Amino acid sequence: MKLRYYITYRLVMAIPTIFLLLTSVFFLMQVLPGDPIVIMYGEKFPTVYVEQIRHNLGLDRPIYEQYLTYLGKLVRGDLGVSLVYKIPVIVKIKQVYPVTLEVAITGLLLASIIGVPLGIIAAVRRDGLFDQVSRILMLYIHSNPGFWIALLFQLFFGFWLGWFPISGRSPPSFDLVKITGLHIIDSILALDYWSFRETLRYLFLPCLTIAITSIPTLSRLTRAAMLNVLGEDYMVTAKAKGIPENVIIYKHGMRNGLLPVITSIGGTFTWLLGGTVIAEKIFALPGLGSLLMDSLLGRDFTMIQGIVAIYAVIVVTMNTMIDLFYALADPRVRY
Amino acid sequence: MSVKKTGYTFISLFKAASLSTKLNVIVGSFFTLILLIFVIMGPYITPRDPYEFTDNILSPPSSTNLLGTDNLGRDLLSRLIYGSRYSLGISLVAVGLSLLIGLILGSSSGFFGGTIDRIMMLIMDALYVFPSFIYMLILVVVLGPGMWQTTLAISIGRIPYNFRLIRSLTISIKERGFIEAERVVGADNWYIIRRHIMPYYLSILFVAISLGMASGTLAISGLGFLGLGIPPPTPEWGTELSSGRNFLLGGHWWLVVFPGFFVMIAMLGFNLLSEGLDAMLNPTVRRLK
Repeated sequence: MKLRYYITYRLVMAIPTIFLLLTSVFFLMQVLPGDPIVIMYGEKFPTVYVEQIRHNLGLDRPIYEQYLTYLGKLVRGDLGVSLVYKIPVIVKIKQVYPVTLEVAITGLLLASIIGVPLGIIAAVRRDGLFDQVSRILMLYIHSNPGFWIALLFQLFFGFWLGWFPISGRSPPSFDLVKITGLHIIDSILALDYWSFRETLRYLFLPCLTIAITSIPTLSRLTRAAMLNVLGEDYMVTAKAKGIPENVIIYKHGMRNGLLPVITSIGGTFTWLLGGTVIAEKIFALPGLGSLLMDSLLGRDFTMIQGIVAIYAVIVVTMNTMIDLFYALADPRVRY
Repeated sequence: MSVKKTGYTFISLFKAASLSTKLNVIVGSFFTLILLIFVIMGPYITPRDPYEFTDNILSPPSSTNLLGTDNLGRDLLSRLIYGSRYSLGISLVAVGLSLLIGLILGSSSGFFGGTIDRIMMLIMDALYVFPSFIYMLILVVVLGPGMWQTTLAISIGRIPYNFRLIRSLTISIKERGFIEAERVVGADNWYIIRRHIMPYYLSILFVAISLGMASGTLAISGLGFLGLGIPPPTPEWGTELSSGRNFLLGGHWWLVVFPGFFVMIAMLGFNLLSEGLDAMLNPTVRRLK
């Protein structure tokens, strides 16, 4: 298969995935108890108007018609109006998504910086002391629930030592011109050292929580991928030719072994989005996860659908991009 | 021509395993056994009534209350031991249910192949790429609070994973030459299922169950922590942690440290066990060692 066809194929295949997720959530929302009109206007709203509004919103039409309307709007990028906030869903999501992105990406970055080298060393020194110790340690860390780690961090670093703030995203006196919405980038662009430092201080504990829960998986996958490559014939050939060990590992091994690692980093990112819901709740960060929780509890149907749509797009884009990158780097994948 | 018996038993495999595998299995089984005792004997071994209010509120660990008391004066140790029934029981039922569905869907999809397989894969892949915890959250809210609803949500959330596992297992068995070879030498279906397919499935099912128990326990305590699991006063671990969290800044650390510790011990036990069992039972892993 030519690369061009492969890319087209992957992009086309992403559509049914998003479609299926959105469809399942649409029908789940139909089963969710609660009347949208009551949620919008409260219990005491006069019943005379309820039917009128229901008709205006199209909620009295058959489900399949509502479903088609929903899909039609979605294709045009219209996620509807939030029942609780009374503003377009997309506007609200745009306000909060940088928070989640910041935590998720810095967390993933930190996890990769620590987890990937750990995995490589463990694979190179297979069954050695380092490998054994790191395997046990990783298994132990992996067994700690993320929310517990977060609470222990709050207790230890925040409450007992008082080194880091335990909740929120920025100090009350924080004043930063919004450019990207990501505080780290905005403070660098504004050349504001104090804001930058405060952002990092506030980000530290959530980011560390996310990182620690992802490190075991990453290092394990890296180790397995490296072991696979180290056992290949060309590695033995390289050794037989007398190429020094370091060169073999870093030039021949890493290049091939890191491809699956990139896949696993992508997979971790997806999984980590679930973790951000809990991390945002514990550290009181106003991100997508907190918004989802509030919407679920407040029965904000349109908002829930909107957030799931965004998650679906993020996840599917991430997976497709990784597959494409993989195909570019490794011609075997395309065939 | 007689068919040579391989003669692997659980004990012979255990003896052949490496020291670290043995340790994993032993320590993992030890933790699992303790938790099993909590689940079965819970009401008989708790030092106090887990629902009994006393005036001794928010007291730190002491000789009367080994792990301290909560804001209503209830004994934390008793609540956590009692809570293992909910946390682990739900996890076990959820894992069993989702494995059963995964087994039915996955093996038929893998065995028959064709269009059905392609459609199933499309649906399961879509669910698989989506963060399962978020899916479980939505399901729990849709289904409503309660024990059975939580169980159902967790088991549905795990179906895509089990489906993929069983499907690839089925395909790999289907394509192996040894089954055809057995048939050629005159083995009947039942013999093939008993001697080849069952052990193959079982070894992986053991690992899948104990791994599933770890993530099931994590999911239920995570839902409980977010206030969407088993509602109080039922002493589920995550729910306990969630209510204990409110007292964290008052310095009442035991209400957070101990419930989480129980979850951690459970997960550690299941993870060690699954790692050990995998190294011990799985032929491909075994060969690599």
